[in-house]
Amino acid sequence: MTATATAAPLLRARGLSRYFGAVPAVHNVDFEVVPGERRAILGPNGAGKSTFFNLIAGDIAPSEGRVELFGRDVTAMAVSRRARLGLGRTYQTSRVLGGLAVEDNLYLAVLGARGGHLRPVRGGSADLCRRQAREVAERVGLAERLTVVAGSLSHGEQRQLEIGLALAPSPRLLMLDEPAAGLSRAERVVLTKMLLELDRDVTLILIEHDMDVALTVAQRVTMLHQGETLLEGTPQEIRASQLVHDLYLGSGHGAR
Amino acid sequence: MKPAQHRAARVAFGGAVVVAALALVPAIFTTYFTGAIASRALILGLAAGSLTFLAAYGGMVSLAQTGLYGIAGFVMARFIVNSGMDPVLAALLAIAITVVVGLLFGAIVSGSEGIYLLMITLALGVITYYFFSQVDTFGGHEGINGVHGPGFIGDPVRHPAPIYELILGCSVIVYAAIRYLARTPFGLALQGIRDDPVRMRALGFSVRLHRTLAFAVGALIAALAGVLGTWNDTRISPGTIEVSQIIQLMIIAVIGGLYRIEGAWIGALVFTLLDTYTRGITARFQTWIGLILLAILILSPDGISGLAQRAAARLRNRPGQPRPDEPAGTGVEQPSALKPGQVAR
Repeated sequence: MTATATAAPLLRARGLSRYFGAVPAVHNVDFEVVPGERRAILGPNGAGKSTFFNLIAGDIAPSEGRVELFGRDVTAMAVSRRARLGLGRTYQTSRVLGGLAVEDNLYLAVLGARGGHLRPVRGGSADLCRRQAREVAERVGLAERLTVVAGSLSHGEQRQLEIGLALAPSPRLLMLDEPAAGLSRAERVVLTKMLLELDRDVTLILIEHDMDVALTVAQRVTMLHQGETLLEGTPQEIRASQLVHDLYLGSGHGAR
Repeated sequence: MKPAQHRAARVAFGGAVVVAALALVPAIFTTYFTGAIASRALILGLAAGSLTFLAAYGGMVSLAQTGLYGIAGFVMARFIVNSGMDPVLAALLAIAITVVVGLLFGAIVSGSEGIYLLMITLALGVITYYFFSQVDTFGGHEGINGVHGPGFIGDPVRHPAPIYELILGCSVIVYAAIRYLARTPFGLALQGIRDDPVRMRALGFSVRLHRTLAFAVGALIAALAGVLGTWNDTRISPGTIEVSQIIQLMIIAVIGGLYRIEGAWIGALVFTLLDTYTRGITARFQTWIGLILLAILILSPDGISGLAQRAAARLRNRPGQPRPDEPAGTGVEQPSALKPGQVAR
């Protein structure tokens, strides 16, 4: 099984479509990612990138097509079960647990993957989980902010915590939806460095408007346009593509 | 973590003083005060506590708690009066049945939030009222009279001290248990679901199952209040759980503060005092309680407990002194950090 498992894709989407009314947000997308790959998804606003993410994570059900994750068909599987299989994700706008301390946020993220969610007693594996939570806080630069209530963090810190929440369960597949959005130049450098230092076992899919971050981190790039795959290639091919320039780089890149 | 330990010790000491003072109420005050005010306030506090627990930690404002109170009360009364069952056994059975119904209610409402959850739980509360007012097995419109509690309670009307101490003991245990539960994996995850159910799903938590079980915990607390309240009144009738009573419990919880668990008992005490003593002065009790509710909602949306907490924080941080960081992750839960608007999301 191991020989085929390494060759088999970690994630495979087949003919994936999602219509909102008559409008196809995602239309007939075939998509494959192999274990350990770093993939960027690019596309102008409204290209269907976030919808595509939500289809894979299970937040919305596809109108047509199938999703296979870690070698199993998960098309009808609940979000929480896909997460427990090893899918960690961030959202375009931060979804942190605003009423809880940073450490409690990350503790719950660790607990989510480990199980024992319903335990009504303290102790047990709590110390281990909390140590793991604090390690993640260190990695995303929130080690000094453990006792701060997440809702009162700054925007940048909430983005850091958002990534921490995705990282804490040690996912096999990490999906980041515009992690650099709203970050300062210095924060983007820190983010890029962190993404480059990710464990090689972790597979990464990244939606990113910031071309510097996306093309530095990714090995392959998928370009979405109006819900369909426009082209797929290496960062060099994407940089060289006239089509991409016309559609995407020409309009926004460099202006920010 | 020295300062946090220091603070925890102070809080524990303060709590012990309050409980000791409350335990002395029958020795200091009149029989009337103990029975009509202190016992009643604690029972209302317990019932409101089940609502505040769900609201503060689960983000679920439930109007079904009065109905659950009634289920426990009616089922126990029926067992005691019609079947001649031992009161304690009848109470345990009634609590168990109420928790099962609470699980069912929880399963029904677990997919809803905010105003929808409020309306569904109101419907459940009203259905429960109509059930007991029309089913003859439970006395129909008359209800069930002559419900005697276990022997050690005696006559709660003439000697209210024993049942008062029992209700106080139950209240302290429930309060401590909720505070404990808030820091367990179950309680923390519940607060996470309150803050962002979408995020919690993406972290692998089963949001509906979690909410359903939280509802069962709320049902357990409401059932305990129903058992003690029925023992205290020696009777229960559909009037105990009608719509005006559902709204009254909501008012108590809001007056005390929906975001801190102690608010339930504070609100119940304030309500009971007003209810008892303004009736001698004015016939317009409902008007006064309405005005007070309005004033609290405008001045302090998180109720009296929120007001008290802000006053204490202001005293601690006199001008010129740096504001110490709140020890949010050090063993003290912080439902106050929840903005009032969040529950309604």
